[in-house]
Amino acid sequence: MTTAYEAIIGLEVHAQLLTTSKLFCGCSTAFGAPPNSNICPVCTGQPGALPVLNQRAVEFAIRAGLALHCRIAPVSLFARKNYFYPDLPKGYQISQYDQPLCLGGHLDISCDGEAKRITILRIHMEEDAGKSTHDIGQATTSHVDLNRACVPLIEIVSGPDLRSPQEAGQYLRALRAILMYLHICDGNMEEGSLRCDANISIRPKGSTVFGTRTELKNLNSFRFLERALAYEIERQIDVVSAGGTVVQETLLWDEKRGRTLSMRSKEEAHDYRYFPDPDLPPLVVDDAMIGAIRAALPELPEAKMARYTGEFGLSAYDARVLTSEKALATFFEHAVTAHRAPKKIANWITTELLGRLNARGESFESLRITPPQLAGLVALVDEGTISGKMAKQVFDTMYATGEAPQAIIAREGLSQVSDSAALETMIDELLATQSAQVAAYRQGKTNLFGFFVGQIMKKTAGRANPALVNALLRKKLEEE
Amino acid sequence: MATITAETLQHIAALARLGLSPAQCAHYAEECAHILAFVEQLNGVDTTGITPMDHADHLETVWREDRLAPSTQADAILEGAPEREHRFFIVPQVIA
Repeated sequence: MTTAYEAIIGLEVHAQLLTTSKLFCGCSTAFGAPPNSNICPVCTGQPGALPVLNQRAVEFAIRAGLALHCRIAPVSLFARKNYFYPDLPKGYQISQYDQPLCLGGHLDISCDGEAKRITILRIHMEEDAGKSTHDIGQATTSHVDLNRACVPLIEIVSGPDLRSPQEAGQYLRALRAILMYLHICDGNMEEGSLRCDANISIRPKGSTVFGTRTELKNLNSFRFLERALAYEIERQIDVVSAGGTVVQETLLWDEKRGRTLSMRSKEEAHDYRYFPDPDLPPLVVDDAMIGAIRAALPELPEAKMARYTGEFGLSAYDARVLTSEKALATFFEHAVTAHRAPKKIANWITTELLGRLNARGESFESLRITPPQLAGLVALVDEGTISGKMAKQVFDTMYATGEAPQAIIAREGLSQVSDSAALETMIDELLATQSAQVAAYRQGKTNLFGFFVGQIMKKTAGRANPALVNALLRKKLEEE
Repeated sequence: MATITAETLQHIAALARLGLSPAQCAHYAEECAHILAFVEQLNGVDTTGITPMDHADHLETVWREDRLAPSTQADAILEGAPEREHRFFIVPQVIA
């Protein structure tokens, strides 16, 4: 980006709530069921069918609101958003409009080591639409599956506070982590459990007015989001630099072609004629309900970070990495429970474990090492059974096979020689055969010490406990 | 009295997926103007101190427990579709 302009970005994130049944009926929300098997008169909009609100969906939405420091509205309203599309059976989507459930919160993100507070304007509840597929069968037809229709969603709307594709990416990562910590969304972007649209405009740096914005849709991975935003910022700057004006429109990101495409929707499409849904009474939540949900909130990344740096003495960096995903934090905590060496365990996770996962492009879910196994490995080093160098070798095998460290050490004969009597005999033999070097050492050539250590390591094929060898050698060399 | 232009009426008709002839358009524009005039009487009412009404009845939230009540009518709903294939509803192509 040229430095003359800055980007103004706001994200609208849709998160599918992890309920068992749909928002307004008892149909299953399971992903991957045969087409149109989880449908009923309510979610297909049959005449006379009436929606009844899923309590857990509301509780989940409030959880998100509290975790993002929002005010929970004691009374909110469901409204009809009217438009025609084949995957919207009722001809309207039940959503919330001018009176949403959650208002005015924030999310703190870290970008290039600096903390930044991003405003959350609102969180509202709504039902999902069905799914249309356009590329199977004849070119003149589309296929519609209504299994997803009426699945509960929350839409989380940020303020126009993000200034770069990287910040937008950090915001989405932090938001996804919180939703997963809260157990209200599985965060699976591939399956569409988490979807992201962006509003974006540019303005000359220093200006305080907003430029004309475009809306980017279909940003369903972190990579797509950052690439699409970078492309769109460049495109808008090119338009303005050439003396043109940005047109307000909805754009689709085309990942294959690496560019945004205009959706050329009719202008009528944006006139949704919202009105309160007469089938659903106002949503009233009382203080007791909000209090109970607040009391049951799990520890969130921010609080965990503070605890890791305080109680465990981890660096801010390690604490941030370990709390970035719930699964990672849980792994770390389980390992520390098994062997209380938090700094060492954190180090193993952030360098060896994540290093391998990243290098191989593997996900944390596919990991074969368990927390007690990693804790066991660290304990074996701490007890002197194996050296740090051997531990890395053992770790490689653990990573590949999921075997316990003790089993690997036993099989490969890796355990460190920590038997001081055996080492003492070995040292005595060595010193007896190297009388010239011993004499030289005793006359002040102390840098020969490394030579003696090397000889013992060679004899034991690297398995001697280095600390013990050092201590014994020093004692022997200095005593006579 | 409120008036509704032919353009406004066409716009509303398009949103509702209704095709109107110019004659029908003129007819409904006049009818709609009458309805608006009727509703406009409400603007004359003093509503100071009255909470805006969201609903006609006074129900509060009706909750449903998050429990499966699997539908037994999925197949019947599918059979009602004019066109279907492999359990999908078939509709005219939406995106070219």
